[in-house]
Amino acid sequence: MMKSKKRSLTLNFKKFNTIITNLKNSILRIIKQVKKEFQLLWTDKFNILLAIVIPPLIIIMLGFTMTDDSKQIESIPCMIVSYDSNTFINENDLVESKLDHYTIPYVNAVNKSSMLDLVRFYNATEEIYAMEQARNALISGTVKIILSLPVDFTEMLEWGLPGLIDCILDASSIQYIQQNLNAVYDSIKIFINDTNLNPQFRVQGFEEFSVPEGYSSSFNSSIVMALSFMVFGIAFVLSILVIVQEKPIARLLLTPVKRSEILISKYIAYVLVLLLQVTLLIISSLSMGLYLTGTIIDLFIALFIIGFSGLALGVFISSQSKTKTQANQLFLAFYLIIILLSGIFIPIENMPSYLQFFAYILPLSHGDPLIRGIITKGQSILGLHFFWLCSISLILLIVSFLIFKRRKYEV
Amino acid sequence: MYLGGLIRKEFGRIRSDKRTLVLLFVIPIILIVVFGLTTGVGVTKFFTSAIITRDDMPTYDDFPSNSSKYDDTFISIMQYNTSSWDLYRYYNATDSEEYDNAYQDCHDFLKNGDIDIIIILPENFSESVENKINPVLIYYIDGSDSTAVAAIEVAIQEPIALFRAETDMITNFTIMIPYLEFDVPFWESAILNYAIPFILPIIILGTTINLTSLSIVSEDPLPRMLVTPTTKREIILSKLIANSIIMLLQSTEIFFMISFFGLYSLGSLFYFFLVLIMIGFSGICIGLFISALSPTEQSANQMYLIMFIVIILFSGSVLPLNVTQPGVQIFINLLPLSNAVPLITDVTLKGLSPNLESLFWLNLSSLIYIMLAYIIYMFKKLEV
Repeated sequence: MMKSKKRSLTLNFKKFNTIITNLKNSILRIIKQVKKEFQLLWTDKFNILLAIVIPPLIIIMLGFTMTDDSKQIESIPCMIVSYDSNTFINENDLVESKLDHYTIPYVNAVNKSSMLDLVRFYNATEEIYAMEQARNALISGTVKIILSLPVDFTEMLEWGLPGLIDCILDASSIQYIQQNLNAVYDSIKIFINDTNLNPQFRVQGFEEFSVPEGYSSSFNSSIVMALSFMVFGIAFVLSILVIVQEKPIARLLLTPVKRSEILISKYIAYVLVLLLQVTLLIISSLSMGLYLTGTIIDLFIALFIIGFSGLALGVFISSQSKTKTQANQLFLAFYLIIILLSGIFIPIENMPSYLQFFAYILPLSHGDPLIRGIITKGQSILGLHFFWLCSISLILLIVSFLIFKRRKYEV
Repeated sequence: MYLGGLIRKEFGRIRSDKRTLVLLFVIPIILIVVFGLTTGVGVTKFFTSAIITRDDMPTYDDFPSNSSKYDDTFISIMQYNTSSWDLYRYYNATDSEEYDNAYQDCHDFLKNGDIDIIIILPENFSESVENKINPVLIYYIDGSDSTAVAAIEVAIQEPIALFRAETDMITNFTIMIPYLEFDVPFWESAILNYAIPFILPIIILGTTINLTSLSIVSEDPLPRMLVTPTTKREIILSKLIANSIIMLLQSTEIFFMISFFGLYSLGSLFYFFLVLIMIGFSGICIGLFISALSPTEQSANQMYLIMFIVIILFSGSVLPLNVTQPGVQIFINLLPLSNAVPLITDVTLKGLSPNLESLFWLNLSSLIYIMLAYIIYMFKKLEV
């Protein structure tokens, strides 16, 4: 009885020893493989330079190119066409009036506004082709706004009715429509104050989560956008050829090295590169004046997981591609679709529901709001976006292992 | 003669890689269809708000009687009548404690992105309306959303105007009526057509740079060709011509696809096609430059991606170019997207002929990239 117990204990001990030895060997092999990966990376120094040095340089370049926010206000060229001095006939009593008390105060208000640059004022009573000339100026781009005071502008205000100012805006560029409207509204505010038109609604605004004075909001907003798709893209492109281009893999498989060890070593090597890249990106962003509301640790983890999802996607493409060309093609297709459906350029809410579903599967659709939340609002890393990125990365990692395990190699 | 042969060889190389060709022609179709199906008509910001009314709280100012007659009217307008506002939730705070709790809730909504703005109606809101004294509206906006910050003052005029009309408070009211010139008509897809000047060049540049960025670096027989009377100039020229022909076919495909899939163009379609070709040519030149500069395929891919990121970041569509330093403008002008976007906008939305300055910079940059590619390739050491 005792003997059999002793024998089973010895057997167990032997088994345990074997496992430990195997594990040790495996770790040693992985370490050697990682070293080999770094040697391989080092053979292409230009590639390393692009992956590690260029991204922080882009951040630094952004920092230097963005001017002080206070210098941002650029007045918008405009023209005023006033019909106010024309004869107005009241439809109710057919009484004619030529009141024109408010044209000059409004022209003065436009001149006072720092957001508008009055190129020319036309009195349409004297110049019958005023609007035609103003429209030609709008088409040629000389002005961006035509402000037109209607024939009943003064009459309406005097009679206690709303005074309407027609503004014809150049709406060809979506990003400047709001800017143009704001400039016109600024002139109306000045006009109301200067002419004491009361009662008016006073709007008192306070900003939450805004960038404080001393920091550049334009730099901050550009960094928020740039960081996620730069980290993702570079990790992605760095890994698309890791398996498919490496010829000695087939020969490696004749040695005791296992397939899983090959892939683990590749992941370790590229994760170390990614860690270095993320560190340098954070250092360069902070040194150029990034205003970070959240913690550096959260930002670091967020950038890392975004980069890791890119890495996992790259390895997945590399493991299932038969040739380098195929890997490159898949990279292009994936990258263009991921970038364009990320919500950075077109809001995901504006897409049809089935496309929204597809967009939300893609990693960058979660990377951008994750980074935005941490930098601008101090949100915690733990949330839907983080767990989604972790899940995508994990799925891609497992699928890559499975594909690589079944991949056929000819020595 | 050499050149003709080289071009034929180049076509053979491209044709042998059928998958790349398929992707080159299929990706634009998929993306155009995807964005053609993209809906949404708003060109201005849509606000989601939460309102806290303190109007029920007693007022000790110059008002003889306490009133809370008008806050419900304002809330109702915000809830049902506006076109650019949505009311997420409202709170009626009758004392400071209720107000603090309501504010805390709203602050959390703001932080989580559920709302864009908190509007607070003060204690004397109804009294001010009744007594025709300037009523005050207080708002707390998400300052991290630059679009919301820029749009709020104008956007809030809509509920104010409706409220003034409802409460017969129209004396001395001055308001602007905007007419959007050169905008996309409501029956066309606004999002698609505003996105076209940006999305199309990205697709064309993305695919053409990718088509050519590996053409030199990954071609093994090149060094051996140099042993023959073929010159480096002929090699580069043949690659430029062959890839340009492929790009021409791709631009034609994109032109027809986008024309059938919701393009709204006031200008000449010929100009539009011409601009697409110039953008494609620019992509070919940048691709050849990358390919000549890169020592390996991996670094060519890396450089392609970095170049692509820089082109997008400094296009003027993602970051406003008027906030950049003046010296940087030259650098920006040498990037194709910064010229491609205004060129397409001018033709499609304004109906103008292409802007000569943008055309000059776009073609100059192509010329510079191809010259650089040639010079780098001339000095590149190749081992046979």
